[in-house]
Amino acid sequence: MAEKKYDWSAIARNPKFVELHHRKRAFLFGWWAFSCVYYFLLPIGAAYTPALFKVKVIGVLNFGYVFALSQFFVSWGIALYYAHIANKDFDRLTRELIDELHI
Amino acid sequence: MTLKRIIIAATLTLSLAAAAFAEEPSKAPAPGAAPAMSAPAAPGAPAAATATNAVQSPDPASAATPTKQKRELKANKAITISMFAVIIAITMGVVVWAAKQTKTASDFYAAGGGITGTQNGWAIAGDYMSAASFLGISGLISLYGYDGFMYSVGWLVAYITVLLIVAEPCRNAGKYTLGDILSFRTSPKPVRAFAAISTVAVSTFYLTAQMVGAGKLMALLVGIPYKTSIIGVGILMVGYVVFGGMVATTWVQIIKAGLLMSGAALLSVLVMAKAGFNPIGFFSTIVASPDIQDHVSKLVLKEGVIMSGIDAGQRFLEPGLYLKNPLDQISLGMALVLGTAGMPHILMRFFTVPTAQAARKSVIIAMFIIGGFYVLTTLLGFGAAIHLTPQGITSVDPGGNMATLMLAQQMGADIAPVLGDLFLAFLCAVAFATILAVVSGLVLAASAAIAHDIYVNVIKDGHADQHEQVLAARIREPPGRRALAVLAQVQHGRRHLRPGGRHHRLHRTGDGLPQHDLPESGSCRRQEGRGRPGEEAGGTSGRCYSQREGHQGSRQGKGRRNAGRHLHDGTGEAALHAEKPGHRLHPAGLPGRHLRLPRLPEPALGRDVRRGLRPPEHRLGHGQGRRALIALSQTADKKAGEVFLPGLFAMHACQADDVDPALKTQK
Repeated sequence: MAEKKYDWSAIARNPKFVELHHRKRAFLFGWWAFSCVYYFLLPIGAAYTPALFKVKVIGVLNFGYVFALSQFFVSWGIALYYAHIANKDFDRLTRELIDELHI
Repeated sequence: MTLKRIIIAATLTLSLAAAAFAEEPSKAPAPGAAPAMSAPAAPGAPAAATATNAVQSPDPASAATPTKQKRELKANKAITISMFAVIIAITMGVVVWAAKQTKTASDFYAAGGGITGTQNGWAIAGDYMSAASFLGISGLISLYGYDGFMYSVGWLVAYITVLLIVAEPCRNAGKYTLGDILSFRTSPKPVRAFAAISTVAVSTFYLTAQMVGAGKLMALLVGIPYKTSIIGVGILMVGYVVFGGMVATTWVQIIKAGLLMSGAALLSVLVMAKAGFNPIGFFSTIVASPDIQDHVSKLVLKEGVIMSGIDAGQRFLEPGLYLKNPLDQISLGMALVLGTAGMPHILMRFFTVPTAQAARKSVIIAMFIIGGFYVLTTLLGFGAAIHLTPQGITSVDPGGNMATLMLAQQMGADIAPVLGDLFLAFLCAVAFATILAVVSGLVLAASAAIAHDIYVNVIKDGHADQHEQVLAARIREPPGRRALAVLAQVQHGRRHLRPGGRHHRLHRTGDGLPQHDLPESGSCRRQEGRGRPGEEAGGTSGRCYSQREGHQGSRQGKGRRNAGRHLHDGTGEAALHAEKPGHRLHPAGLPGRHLRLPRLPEPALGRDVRRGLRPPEHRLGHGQGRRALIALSQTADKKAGEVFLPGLFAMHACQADDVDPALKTQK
């Protein structure tokens, strides 16, 4: 059984793989952390800084409402940005890596 | 067929368990609700506390206007039931159609990986937007204003976690269940068992809530008794799952998400039309509404704060009416943001798409649908508060869950009375469809965990270690083949035929003996395309195949077709040949030469197949590789095409096209 063996450690050392891995991790966890922090500002802010949330911004709409609404747009923004980067960079790097490894 | 029976049994058990659980809370609030009207809010279970809290406020109000106290939301029975019938008929039609498409275990669990990103996005949204969102969130907003809105934010933000952390690895590593992902690099058995238990536990709790919702909704709206409606929902969901599998479930979700979005959008337009499409004016109306001011005054009075007039109205748009303890809010936020990424029926949806790109796209589409829905929900909730008044809402249901439906009736009736009934009936049907869809998604996830993880991989699989998994991966079964692998375990005692994949080659060489084995089949596959190394290791080869598709241009949605084609390359014909135990095998292209393969002792491992007619399966270990091969040889049932189970798909596929005429005549 001449099974095709992949040299996993070689792949793991491949600079392209390292770069892909590093960039992906930095991007994904970075933005995830950002979105978490941004989201938790909402409940924490609502609980501990009610005065800020009461500040009227537009008409009767207060800062709290606008901030909560902004969560939606920030989330969509992150999603679109991620799709953009992933399609542009990550997929390209993955393809290059696969081509290079001839697998 | 055993697998099918297991799935049916699991589904039934789950639905019964959920129904049994669902009985409990029906009794709890029923006696609780009436006395709560006069009794002071006693701290108790969270649900009860919410109910009593909510009930308190209308107490004096209903004393002033006693006619309001017994108000009920009554739908026009004829219209509502016919709406229900239409929805059930449509979904059942989908199930019948899907049952014809569903032939393999892969089809059953993961729709054969043939769902496109857009479809999956809608289905995820459908899976996620349960009755809790549709009825519950808008109810919360209508009673507590800002806090309800803040509650809904977490539901969307949760998808960032799903998108960034969960979706793609899930699709790459997973096959049918959460257990597949977790056992990817760990000791398979215990991990699988625990993953399955966790899936079943999560599903059961979620299921129970949905069933209670269904029962209450029906009882409240059309007067169908609580028990009857729970049993009805149970039967329907078992039908969807057992006959339609993932394909039907997916389409039920898509239909439901579409209905839900159109219902919410239509209602929002009506609400905004009343406000002259002026959002600022809309919110000014809230602040100025005397009923809302009154409602808020009573809410804050409980904390010893005296507030009235415009201040109280403004307070409705500020946090702290519902989630009073800061830690409550943070804990809720954590549960939403982290919890969503672990919901088995959401994770399972990523196994249905052919590529990581499609998985990514589906989450983004789902995020826009879900986010849009929650923004609309705000309008519905505040609209209900303006037009129905919080007092009116609590007099029908103390928890505010009927706010959306009441609003629908009111908005429609403002145009024409019949329209009110019609609109209400439509939204009831949507809510019903919502529950059905979510429930079938959950049941599917749970039965996959039971059948695939616990039964196939824990009970029936001795030791599929990493090495064997790699081996299995190298065979790279397309989904159809993979299905066979699953069944193989079930049909344990029936292994004696030659693995079908070989026939393909037999056919070419014409010598009637197996001419190639694993390495060749591996290389054969490699000619067709390259997979990602990471995937290769995990026995996820079917997915690799389509993954590659995605890399070389986003031809998503073709995965299924390609998989099917691939099947013909290697395994399809085999499946066609395989007959019942002890039947003759007729090698392709060699009419007249009938081979009767001996039933081999199980541990005949490591022999060279080429020396005899011994099936190569015996050269492999006990793991997936062996199973995959065994599987190829099984697939025997002649009636196969009618059932969803394995092999049968292969047969079907072969019948459809490129089958050697010789093979066909043999049948």
